[in-house]
Amino acid sequence: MVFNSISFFIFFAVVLILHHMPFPWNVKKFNLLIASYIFYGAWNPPFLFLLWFVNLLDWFVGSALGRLQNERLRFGLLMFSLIANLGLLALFKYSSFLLDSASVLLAWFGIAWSPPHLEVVLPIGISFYTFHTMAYTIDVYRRAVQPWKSFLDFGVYVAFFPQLVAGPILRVKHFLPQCLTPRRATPREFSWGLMLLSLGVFGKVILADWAFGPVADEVFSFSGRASTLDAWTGVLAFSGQIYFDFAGYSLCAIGTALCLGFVVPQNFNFPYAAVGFSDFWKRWHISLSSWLRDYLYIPLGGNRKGTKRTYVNLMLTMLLGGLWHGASWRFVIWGGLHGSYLAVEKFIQERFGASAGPARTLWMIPGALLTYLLVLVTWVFFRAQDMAATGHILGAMFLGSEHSNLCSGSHIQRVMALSAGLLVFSWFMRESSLANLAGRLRWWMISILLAALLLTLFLNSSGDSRGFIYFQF
Amino acid sequence: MTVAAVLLLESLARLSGFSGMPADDRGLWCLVRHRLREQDPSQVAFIGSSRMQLGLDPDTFASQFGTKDALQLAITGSSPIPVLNHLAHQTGMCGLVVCDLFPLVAFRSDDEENRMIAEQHVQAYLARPANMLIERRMKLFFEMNFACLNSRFRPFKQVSTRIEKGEFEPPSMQFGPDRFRRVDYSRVDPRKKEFRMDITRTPIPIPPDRLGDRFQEIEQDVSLIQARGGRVVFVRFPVSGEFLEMEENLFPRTQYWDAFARQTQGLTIHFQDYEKLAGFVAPDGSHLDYRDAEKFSLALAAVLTEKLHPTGVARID
Repeated sequence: MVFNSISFFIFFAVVLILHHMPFPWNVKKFNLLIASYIFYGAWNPPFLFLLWFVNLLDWFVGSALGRLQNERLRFGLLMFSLIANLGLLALFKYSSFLLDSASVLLAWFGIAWSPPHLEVVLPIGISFYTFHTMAYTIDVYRRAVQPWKSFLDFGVYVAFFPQLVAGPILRVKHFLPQCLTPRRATPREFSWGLMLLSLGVFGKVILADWAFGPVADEVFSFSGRASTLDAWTGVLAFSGQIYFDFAGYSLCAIGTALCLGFVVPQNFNFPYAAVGFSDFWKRWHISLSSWLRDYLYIPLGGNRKGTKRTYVNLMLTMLLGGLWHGASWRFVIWGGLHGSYLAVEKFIQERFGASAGPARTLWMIPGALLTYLLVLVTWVFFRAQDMAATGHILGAMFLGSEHSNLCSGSHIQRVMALSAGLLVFSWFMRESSLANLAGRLRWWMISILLAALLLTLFLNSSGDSRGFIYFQF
Repeated sequence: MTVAAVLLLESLARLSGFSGMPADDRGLWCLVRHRLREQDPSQVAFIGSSRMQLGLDPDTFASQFGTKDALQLAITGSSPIPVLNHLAHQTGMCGLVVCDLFPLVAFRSDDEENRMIAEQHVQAYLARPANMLIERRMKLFFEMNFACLNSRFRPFKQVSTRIEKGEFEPPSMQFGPDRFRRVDYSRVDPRKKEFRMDITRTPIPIPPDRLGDRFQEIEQDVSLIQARGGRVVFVRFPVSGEFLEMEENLFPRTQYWDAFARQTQGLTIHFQDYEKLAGFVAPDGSHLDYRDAEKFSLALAAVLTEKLHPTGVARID
């Protein structure tokens, strides 16, 4: 089930009614758990078994880790959980990629081998919920948290429907304590939650799917080489599409959870206003970058094992972060490029020191534009269908091309204007938040804005809904 | 405020002559596809591209042909081959498949985009989420009951037309859950006809001496459906004027259509060969006006009734 569907609004209305009935807290949590399974099962019911398997596995492993004192056994159990979770990911998400890569590798050694063609359906959200459960097991292993006593709470943590299929990735310490006491949104939280939900759906349906998506599709699905203008338009369009698609989903998740009285962490903080790449990754998909930092970069040694090792750890983290997004070398390259940008930035900062005062202010705008430009170029690897298409788009962007007229004038104007608007808005919001902005607006301004959002959404409700891009990860 | 604005727009849409109309999307195709009764020999399915969608009214055809249900599965801009392949391999279809075989699509070598459109529809059906059909039905309810959701309704354009010309501009196309596109060409601006031959996208014909592979690809599906007791009928829809000349230049009938007709086990019906089908004029060169579409549907049903037994077995003439 997706947020931008009629089914979801009916489903959510029923969940809200049940959540506000005078039931005991455990009953309400049970309702939430069942609702989460319905939400997930609406896509493909058999994959509920996979969700339950992961849930049960890490629950029992976590409980055992809490009881055991023998460190070898504990380590063995941790490895068992990690191998099982990552094995599921490998099976469902990476099997074809691994086999194809093995075939190419063998071909380098002169061994001809055709891998079997596997028709594996990727279970929606598997990358997210396996990360939830792994985070729990690792935290218990590290004794950062105690094994949770309530299986019901743990089930809600793993399957909580607002964030189940595309995050934000929840942390044990942040979410599970919220299950201890009855959650009920105050009227202010409830209305703000609905506002965020509306904004998120607006971002998804109008900006990502209507304004940017078709232009990006047009350029990236073109088999030849587009013109320079078309290529830049397509890449700008994709940068807008993926931002509003994913940030829109995150806003929906945060808003939906808030209406139920739960606080889900922020996942985006105006990333296109970032100055530098460490800033970018503190603003883009925050829950993933912090997960990778805490469960991959720091365990690898972080910056504690010397300069060279720091760069290696950084690059490894970003390469794996890239691979997390999809089973293709293009995602690995995308991660690798971001890793390189981070490494260069770190090198410059260490060599020349972080600028401060007036120098920093002078650097801010060109720095933000340079960051945005590099992010744009790197999106080509993320979006293009294969390496040949990546080459075509990058060639058209930088070497020019005689082919033209893929995008209409109105499409080009729309993408340019909206992208410029997004950049300017992000820049003015970089030290602020939507909640702050709303706090500065009069009630009638918010009412008009909300009415306009709802009207636009209603008028665009006809026809197919596009799935969220991050569902495929 | 939102409700007031919706009411205002709805009134304007109704005053302009608009009514509820669903979007012709994959979801609607899936809804129609879901109605396919695979084991029913009386089931009729229409496949092909826009000529079929504009030129054949399923209800009119069904009433004349004497079947309960005729499904419009044609997809504008698509190749019929992926849907034919889907019906042959992924269903137990044993009824009548009427396929719009348009040489400019079916016998072109650069048909990747046309195939992709059809494949996306088939894939949307096969990989549909569990709640997809319910969701599409709910959307259909809103689309059919709110004229302001009609994708062709432009409120600002209607107001400016009313101010300039003193009257609203009613829609030239009606489209319903049956997926039949009723186009009223008397209301279409001749400069904005549905079909325009864009010279940069002129199809590349498969050379006649290499048509065998394409014929064989189609024939495999025909054999499968007919082996189950079904029938496949290929129809060449009426085209006229410059369009017909252009088609004859690129895909000469003798080398393409006639060659195909000679080797297929399916029944082939070319509009030029039947008096009942020959007199239609396509206003834009390759699509029928809705009034002619109804007549053409009756005529085609009559021709097929003559040619086929009710059981779907070809009559021996």
